[in-house]
Amino acid sequence: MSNNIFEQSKEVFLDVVDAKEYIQLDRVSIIYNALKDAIKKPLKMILLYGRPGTGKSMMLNKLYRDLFEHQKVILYQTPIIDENEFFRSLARDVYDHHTDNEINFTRFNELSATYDFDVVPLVLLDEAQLYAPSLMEKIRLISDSRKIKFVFTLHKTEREDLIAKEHFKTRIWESQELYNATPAELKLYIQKKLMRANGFDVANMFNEKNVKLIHTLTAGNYRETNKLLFTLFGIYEWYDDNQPTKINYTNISHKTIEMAAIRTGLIHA
Amino acid sequence: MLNVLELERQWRRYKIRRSAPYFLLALLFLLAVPVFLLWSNRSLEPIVTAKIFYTEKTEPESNNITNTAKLQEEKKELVKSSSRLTLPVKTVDPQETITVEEPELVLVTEIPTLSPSLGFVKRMKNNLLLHENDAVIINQSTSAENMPKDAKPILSIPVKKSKLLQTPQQESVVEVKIPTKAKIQLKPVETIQTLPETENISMTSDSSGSSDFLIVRKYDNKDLRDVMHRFEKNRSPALSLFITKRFYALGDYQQAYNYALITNEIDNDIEDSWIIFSKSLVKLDQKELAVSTLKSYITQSHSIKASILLDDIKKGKFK
Repeated sequence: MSNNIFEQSKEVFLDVVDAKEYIQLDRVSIIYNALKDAIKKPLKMILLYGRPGTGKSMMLNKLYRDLFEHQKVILYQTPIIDENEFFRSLARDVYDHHTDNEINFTRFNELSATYDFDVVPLVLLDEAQLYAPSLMEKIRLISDSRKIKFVFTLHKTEREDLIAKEHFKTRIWESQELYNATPAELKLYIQKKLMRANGFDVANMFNEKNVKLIHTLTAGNYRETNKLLFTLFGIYEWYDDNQPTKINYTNISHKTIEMAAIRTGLIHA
Repeated sequence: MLNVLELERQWRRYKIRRSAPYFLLALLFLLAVPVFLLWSNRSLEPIVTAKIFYTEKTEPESNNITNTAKLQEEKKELVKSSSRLTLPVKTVDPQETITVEEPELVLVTEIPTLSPSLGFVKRMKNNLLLHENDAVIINQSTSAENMPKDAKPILSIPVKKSKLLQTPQQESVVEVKIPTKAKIQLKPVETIQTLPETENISMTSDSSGSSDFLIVRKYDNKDLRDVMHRFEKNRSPALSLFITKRFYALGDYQQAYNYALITNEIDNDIEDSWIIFSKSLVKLDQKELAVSTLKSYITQSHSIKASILLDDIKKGKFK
């Protein structure tokens, strides 16, 4: 590990979906608990939706990590676009049925009829808006049979709303919406992340004004915030190595934040 | 790899570009404020014409005056007006041609004032009120534009000599020939008539003749001077009308005439001013001029009061 505190801080904000890095915030915590409760109910489908960068994938990952030891749960972080490949993957992961032969929708239903679980297996599908409508219709039919329970994440756009209406409006399902962070949540998010990596000094360099500027630039988008802070600490790391006199160790300067925003494309200079 | 130095340059460009509109707005505001103030000042004084005050350095020996005129004051502030020049003068023979060498004029300040000259007002303000042999020449050709055509009296006193000032646009030597026909001789103006300090007026309310009320009216020339001082400051026609009436009441018809003239210039729609103007002319033995003035005024205003006065003047009831 490097001695440069800014290099350590930079690594914290590397944008990866890892449940270990999940930061529990008040509002997010409420949504997560509601989601967990929904899974216990006899619902066929659960929808988790929100704008990009609101933490849907991270929450799905966290859910998988928390439920993994208690029930059969499968997470598909990357959509499987091909229908046969999707059913074959599902048969392998849910029923432990390995085959090189083609598995279509009919074959999969026949297979699922032969298995019975005390707790219905849970399949988590991230980026569900990328699935073809015909496949989504078949997923709906599988969920109707109550053999598998699905949790989807969707980007909240007009198009995805339409998909939801077309495919799921008559189904029994529950939806949870995730929101962009408020300035207070963003400050907590940044400081919690830094403190988790023992970056207490760096965490104290963030004040209300700094976080407000970051929030203005990123619109509370966690992914954009991660990118911005990763670049920000990269710049600080350079200054620390080359021009340490230019660093104010008590406050994150607006200039550096704006430079990071220029670098990440949040500001068009 | 981060190129921080390049990022710094980009950041500087970004800051300049971002702050440029604010800078321009501030600059526009700074420019707009004086323009607005200038505009608002002009709009407040739409009628006033600019006058230039000159301080005359009198050099008696160098003045090539044919007569042996001597100026009473070493320094006088004279108002140069585009419409009128009122000059404090010494007596001058009406038939004489006067040649005046251009006096050295020193520009003191430029402030907007209204004609005619208030030189005589200033003299009175200082309690001098010494007209002695001085007289006021009111040039017929420079009387107020808003006066009726026939109401352009030229009043002068027979004087021995006069010193005329030139405006900067004039030639260096000016010969002024004062036509005798256009002049009317008037008596020298006396000082403000001294009034009794108090006047008791008793009023009776019943047939027995016992007095119930006693009105004590105080006369004080200081009041008049105060009003004149206020008038100098605010140029209110109401004040000049008041002064006009007071002078007329005091019997100083020359001053009553002058102030009526000023009042008419400021506001040519004040009936009382025209009435006193005409009455003063009658008192100054200018009956014909008074009649013509009243006729012109009546034509314009259809004033009944003026008609009655005209009738009285014609019939000799008002002398």
